[in-house]
Amino acid sequence: MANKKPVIAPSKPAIHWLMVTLTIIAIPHFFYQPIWVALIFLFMMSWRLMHSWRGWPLPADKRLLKGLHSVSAVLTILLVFYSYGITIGRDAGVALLTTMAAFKIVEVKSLRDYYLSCFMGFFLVITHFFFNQTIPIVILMLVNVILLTSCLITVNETDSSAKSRVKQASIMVLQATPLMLLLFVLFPRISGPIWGLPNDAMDIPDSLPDSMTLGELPPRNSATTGMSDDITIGNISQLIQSDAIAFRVKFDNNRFPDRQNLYWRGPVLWHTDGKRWLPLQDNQKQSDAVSKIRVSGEALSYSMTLEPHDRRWLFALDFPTAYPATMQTRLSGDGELNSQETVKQRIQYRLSSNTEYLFNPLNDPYLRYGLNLPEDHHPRSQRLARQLIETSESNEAYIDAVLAYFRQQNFSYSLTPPALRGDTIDQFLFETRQGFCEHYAASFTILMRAGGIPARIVTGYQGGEINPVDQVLTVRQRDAHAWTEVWLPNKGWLRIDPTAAVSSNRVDFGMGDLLPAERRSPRAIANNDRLVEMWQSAKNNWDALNSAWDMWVVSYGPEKQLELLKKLGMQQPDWQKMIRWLAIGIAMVFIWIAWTTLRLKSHSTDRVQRAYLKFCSTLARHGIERQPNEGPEAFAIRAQQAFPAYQQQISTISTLYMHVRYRGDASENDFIQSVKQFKPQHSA
Amino acid sequence: MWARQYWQRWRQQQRYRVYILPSRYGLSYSMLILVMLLGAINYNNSLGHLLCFLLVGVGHVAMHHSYRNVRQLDFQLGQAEPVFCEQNIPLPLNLTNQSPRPIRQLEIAYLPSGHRSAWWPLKQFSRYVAVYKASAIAAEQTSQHLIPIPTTRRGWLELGRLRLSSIYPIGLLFSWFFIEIKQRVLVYPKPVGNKSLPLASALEESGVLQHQHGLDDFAGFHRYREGDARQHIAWKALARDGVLRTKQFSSPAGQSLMLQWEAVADLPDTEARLSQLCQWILTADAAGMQYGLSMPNQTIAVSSGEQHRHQCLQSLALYGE
Repeated sequence: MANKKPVIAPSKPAIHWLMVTLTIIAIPHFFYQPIWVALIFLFMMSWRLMHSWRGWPLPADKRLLKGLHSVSAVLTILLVFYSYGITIGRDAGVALLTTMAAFKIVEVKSLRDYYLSCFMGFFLVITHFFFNQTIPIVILMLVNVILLTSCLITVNETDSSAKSRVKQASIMVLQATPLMLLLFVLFPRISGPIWGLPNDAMDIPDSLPDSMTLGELPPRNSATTGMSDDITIGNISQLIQSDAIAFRVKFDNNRFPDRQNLYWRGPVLWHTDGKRWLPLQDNQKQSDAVSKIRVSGEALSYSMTLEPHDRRWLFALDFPTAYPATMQTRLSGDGELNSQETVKQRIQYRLSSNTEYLFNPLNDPYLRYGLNLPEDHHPRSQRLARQLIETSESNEAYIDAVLAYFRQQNFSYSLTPPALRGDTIDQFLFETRQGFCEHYAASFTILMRAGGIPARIVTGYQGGEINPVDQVLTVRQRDAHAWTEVWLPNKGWLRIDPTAAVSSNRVDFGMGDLLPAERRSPRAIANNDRLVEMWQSAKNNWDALNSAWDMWVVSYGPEKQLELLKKLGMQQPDWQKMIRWLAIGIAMVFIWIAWTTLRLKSHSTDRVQRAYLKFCSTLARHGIERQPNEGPEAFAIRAQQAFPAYQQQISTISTLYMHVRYRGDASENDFIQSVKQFKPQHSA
Repeated sequence: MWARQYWQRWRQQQRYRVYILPSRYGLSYSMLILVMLLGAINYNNSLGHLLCFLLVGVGHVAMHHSYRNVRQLDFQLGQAEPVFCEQNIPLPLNLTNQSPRPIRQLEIAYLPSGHRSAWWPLKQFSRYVAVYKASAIAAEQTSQHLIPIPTTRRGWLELGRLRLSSIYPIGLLFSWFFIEIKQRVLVYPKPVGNKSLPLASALEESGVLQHQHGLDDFAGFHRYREGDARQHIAWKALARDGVLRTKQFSSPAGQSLMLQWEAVADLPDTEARLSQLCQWILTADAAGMQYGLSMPNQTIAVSSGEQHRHQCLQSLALYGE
């Protein structure tokens, strides 16, 4: 309202409360932000704290400090630009917001400043969700909103205790949840973005690289974070360090394929310079190239929930035969399923796959690329290939011979192989002989090509864990895998996994078994089987909860909304129907809250008070109503006069009440008993 | 049937109508939610939506709490007593909290009568003057409050209306209701002036010269009354037992005094003359003297006592009206 009020300074408890709240909100950001953000934040908080404790001057008190404060605020903005570039993306925005909230806190001297700080706090709460969308962070959100609400209560009222203000705030937030849920489900969702998204709009923790490198990685240049494709040149061994989820699969009717067939197809790599493996170049791709698939056996249908990876490819159980209906996709000539758009958020799609198939059995447009060998590389490998092919009668026999070579020589599967230098393939095949999928796939492919068999590397994932709680198969980044496909006339592309020849456990039991024990369960309980079992079961339940959470809460968007409303029985949901139901729901919530806030009935748990009120209402039924400002003593006298037949009882009850209440020298039970026995028969 | 009874009972309780509007901060809060919602839509951030909706819910709950905070009040206005101009009228107001929860942060503002603007009721909001704050009224309790109502001129004052408002709990909403006072109060002139009591002439006649400054003789205490001269308050006694007393000074018994309009004729304007007369009356009354008042339109015979004092002051207050 437009009242010209004098500037009211927020009380000290209100300021302290706000500082605690903002710190709790800001702490999660310190993990993603450069160290100076945290330092500036803590510096400003300490400054304000010292003002409260020791009376240190604030910027408003001294002109010099005010100048310094403004200059450092400007410098901080410049620092943000310097660190993040001129466009304000997600990270820069959060850094700016966090530091500005800190700069504001030493400036708070009026109610207006205080509200501004609180609103900045609300804004900081929403920025958590750009980094993390898990259940704990939503619980933290509830805590933060309660704290901010209690800040707003505190600045308006400091008479009651801090505990009662937090309680009041908790009640308010609790009462707000029905409307929140209603709006969450029914508020018509619009598919974003409305305007552009910054490049760093989301976190892509780990994803499968679009190429493969054996040996040393080129050094990562930290200055170009996220800007260039170069840094994605990784090798799969790095991914194996990550337990991040790649995708989740729910098979219809819980019909799972055999473990040996759990190959999730991703990018196909053809070209090699001896170290690096790359997919087909754009100019080599033939637009008319199609994958001709002949299937046998029964198709498996499933729905995939793919985590964002900022790439266009989609994963599918080898080999997809029916493609997603909900999105634009294309299957390339070498069997890559690609989406029209890069996957920037978690998406869900339905697929069918057949595990028994023939892929381009008659001819293939890219066969010549499948025979390319880098010039002047791998001389020892080529010699080995010539030796083996001379002793083999057919291509199949040659393949078996190579696999037997892997099996019989002392190759071993290792997640920490020795570094390879120089001719990586030769070094691996004849010297180190320790490696994992990408080493075996690459060297096997080279040997095939040297033997005249077209071969290529397929990357993707193998295996996955089935959660017994919700029967969802979860594939993590650590399940990343690479294998080889060779082309044989009339058989087409055949999947051959040379890693399996060396370590059958990798395929039979999945990656989980090969990991060190401490990555499967905490080290502290690793020796106790029972505890490990309990931990595993708790973990399964937690994973199932997270899976449902990701699918139904985090991914809740326009499509999910329609799906859910259909499940709830709304026929052909559209936004008008949603608005209508929303209006009905809001009206009901309105009435409910009005009823809970306005009812006069005391719902205190105080039995004495309840009994006394019952006594009063009994008398009221007989025409003696207690006035709001009438004390129990005055009321008792009046009631005794008006109701002489029960004078004795009224007197006893009132005396007992006053003794229990004000002196504490009578028994509560006696009082409650006497109220129970008070049953006047006739009217006064 | 019970619904109708319930409705009637509800209507009976509604002695006043409560209004509620978002405050400045409430409007900013809704802007904040809107911006956050746009961000959440742009980023397809489902949990961002969740937070926005939670904040909408908090705003909605705050509305009910704010309404509840002023809804369950019962009030009873007492009779306002006359005061001197530029003093505040202590208007007794009994507030009863009927609800089982405390009522908090009640602000009482006053709008003088004659300031109504019908076409846009909010326009007059800026004219309300906040005069009183009740920080808490305990559950199911009655408490008495003295609302200080400012006065600016002497004469009859038609009291306007009170606005009882609160922004509790979180300051986003402003809810209020009005109490029409429907009383008029007499405002005496302001007791100021630096002329001393016109005792000399009266004393000279009786020849008792040594009592010219008879006011110096201390005669005892009486309880402080509104309008007693500040310099006569017994501050030491106040420090001792906390009771406000006024020192009384004797003057020769049977001393009588006629306060005359002509005696203040040299003062520049009517208000100054009335003020001077008013001060004389108070001084004479405090000294226990017998006094009378002679005005151009009225003469009040020499007398003393509460009733007499009021009569004289009323005559001054209403002079020229």
